[in-house]
Amino acid sequence: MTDQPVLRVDHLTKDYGRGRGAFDITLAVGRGECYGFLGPNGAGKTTTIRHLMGFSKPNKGSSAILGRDCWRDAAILKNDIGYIPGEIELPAAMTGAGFLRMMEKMRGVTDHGRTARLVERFHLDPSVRVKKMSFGMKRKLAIVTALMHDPAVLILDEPSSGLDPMMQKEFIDCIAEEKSRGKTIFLSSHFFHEIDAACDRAAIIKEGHIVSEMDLKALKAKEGNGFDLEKYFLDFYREEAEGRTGDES
Amino acid sequence: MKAKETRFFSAALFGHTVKNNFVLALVITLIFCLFTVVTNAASYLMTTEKQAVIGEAAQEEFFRYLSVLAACDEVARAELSYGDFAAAENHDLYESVFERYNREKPGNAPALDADGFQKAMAEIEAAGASPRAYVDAFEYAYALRGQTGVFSGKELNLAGAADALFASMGFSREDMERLREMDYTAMLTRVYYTAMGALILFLFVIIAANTLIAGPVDSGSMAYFLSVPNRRAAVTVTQLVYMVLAPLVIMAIACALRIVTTRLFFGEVHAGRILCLYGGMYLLVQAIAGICFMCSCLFNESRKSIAFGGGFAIWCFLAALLGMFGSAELIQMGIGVEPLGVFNKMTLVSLFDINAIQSVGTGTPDTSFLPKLGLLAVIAVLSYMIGIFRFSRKDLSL
Ligand SMILES: Nc1ncnc2c1ncn2[C@@H]1O[C@H](COP(=O)(O)OP(=O)(O)OP(=O)(O)O)[C@@H](O)[C@H]1O
Ligand SMILES: [Mg+2]
Repeated sequence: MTDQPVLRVDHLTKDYGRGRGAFDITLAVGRGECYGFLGPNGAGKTTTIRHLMGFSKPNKGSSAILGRDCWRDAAILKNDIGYIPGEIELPAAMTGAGFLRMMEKMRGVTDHGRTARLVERFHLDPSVRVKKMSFGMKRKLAIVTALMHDPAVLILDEPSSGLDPMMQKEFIDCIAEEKSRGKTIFLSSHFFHEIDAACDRAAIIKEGHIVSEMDLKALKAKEGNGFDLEKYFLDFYREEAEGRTGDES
Repeated sequence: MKAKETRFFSAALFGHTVKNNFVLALVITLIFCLFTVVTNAASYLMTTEKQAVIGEAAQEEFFRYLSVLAACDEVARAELSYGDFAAAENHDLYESVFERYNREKPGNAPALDADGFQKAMAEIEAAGASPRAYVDAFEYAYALRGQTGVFSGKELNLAGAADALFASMGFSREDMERLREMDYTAMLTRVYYTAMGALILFLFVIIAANTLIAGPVDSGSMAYFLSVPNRRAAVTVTQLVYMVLAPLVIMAIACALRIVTTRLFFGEVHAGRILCLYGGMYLLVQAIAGICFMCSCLFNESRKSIAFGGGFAIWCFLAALLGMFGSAELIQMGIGVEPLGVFNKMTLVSLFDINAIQSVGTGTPDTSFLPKLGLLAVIAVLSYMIGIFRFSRKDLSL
């Protein structure tokens, strides 16, 4: 964690107009670290991730992963990135297995063992056609797809929404394992227990701006065992909301 | 991990695209093939149904025999007729009638005999015309002989009667000639290559172009193709390869079918000319495909991609259809009006000049179609390039 950060966002700004988008986002995530990204709906989490994936070009600032620019080197970076999109629309006209095979081919993955183990682990039935899959099944398919090539960096946009509680637990365990194997994780989520269990640090974003960044480990150490992250965040959200209505009145 | 990226072509994506559009391609191929066979069969029926006519000399010759029979019937109360002659085994009776005529005929008139009558009939039949039609016409001609008009005092004859009848129905003799000369098969060919047949392929490229780029971007599934080491250009070029190959395969099948059925129906075929027609049609389809593909790359929403790309293609089709009714051929046939010709200037279909292409294989081929087809190719290449270029640089909200 002492050397160059694996993932770095530098004064990134994307203005969608009318105050929407992401503004002057700066953050850095070190190797083997899990970084949580929290915030209310429409805060700009997906917008930030879109830039990390090279789907969007920033108005200002830049972002880089493993020292490579996320926009310019988008394609080559994907060798090292596992991505779970927030919206899980899958290409139609194939079965889960067909989809996984296609993704393996496009990634040049030749070892099918890892994919098979992941399918097993998340109780995924890949023989079902993608169109006929339930929300949770599609989510599982996205998870397997993101992990199949054993990437060094994971970018996860609300990865466990739609999973049943047992699978959510399984997924959190999986993330923890990946972290212990030295993987760098950028996790956007609305689930406090997920952030609590997996993340070392977290940022809260509101209306496109990072309003707070905290070291969860240090916080926990300071507050002791009875620390309740959920209460802490809810208080934080509420304070912010009240602060704003206070301003307006 | 190995730092590999796909720059231009992804076989896995291509496989997916082929599968994804398979049903559409299959249905379009079947419809197009069916349309091809039916059109060809219809042109065959049109060419065989048309009644031929014989020259004036042959008609005069035939009428000379008939008038001898008619005179004999009147004078001798005999029952000689064309039908009886054609059916009879023994022509002795007719031979004797002709002999008597030969003896009494004016000096300069040619001699007649049963063999000559037979030959005159055979000549009409050989030309593909029906002797019956001429016998019917003769009835009127014979009835009018020697009659003069009660008002005009002019001699009445069959041609004058026909002209007067047509004129009273609002036709001139030229109209009737043109109607008889009208080449319905040429029209069918034009409709096949530049309107209805092209429309089937336009529909294919409109739908396919949208499912290749704008559809996945709109639905969000493009995120998966771009979360692997695919360059944006790898996605667009792979889809472009499909856009180039799929219509080629569909049209190659139809072209083969057209050549085979032409050979079957007509007994002979000019394969080179048909290949040129399909080649031209392919370039037309590619120009439309290029525009649709470009729209698919430019717009993030399916409905916009369809509205602009599809709208353009449908406009080209409709303008070509309207323009057809302003073309010289249809105006001449009397089912077109000149002002509609302006639509020919407003559609890419006009760059596919089938009249010129059909001169291929004749002694004097008209090569003016080549630069026009070249322009279609340039439009296709340019719009493909703009699409690929733009997609590589644009913002995707995935
Ligand atoms: N392509 C776009 N064009 C215009 N506005 C956009 C676009 N994408 C997002 N926005 C706006 O930017 C803001 C941030 O959206 P974003 O998707 O980043 O939110 P989010 O933090 O991911 O929210 P959620 O928790 O609901 O997923 C929203 O107000 C959204 O309406
Ligand atoms: Mg989001």
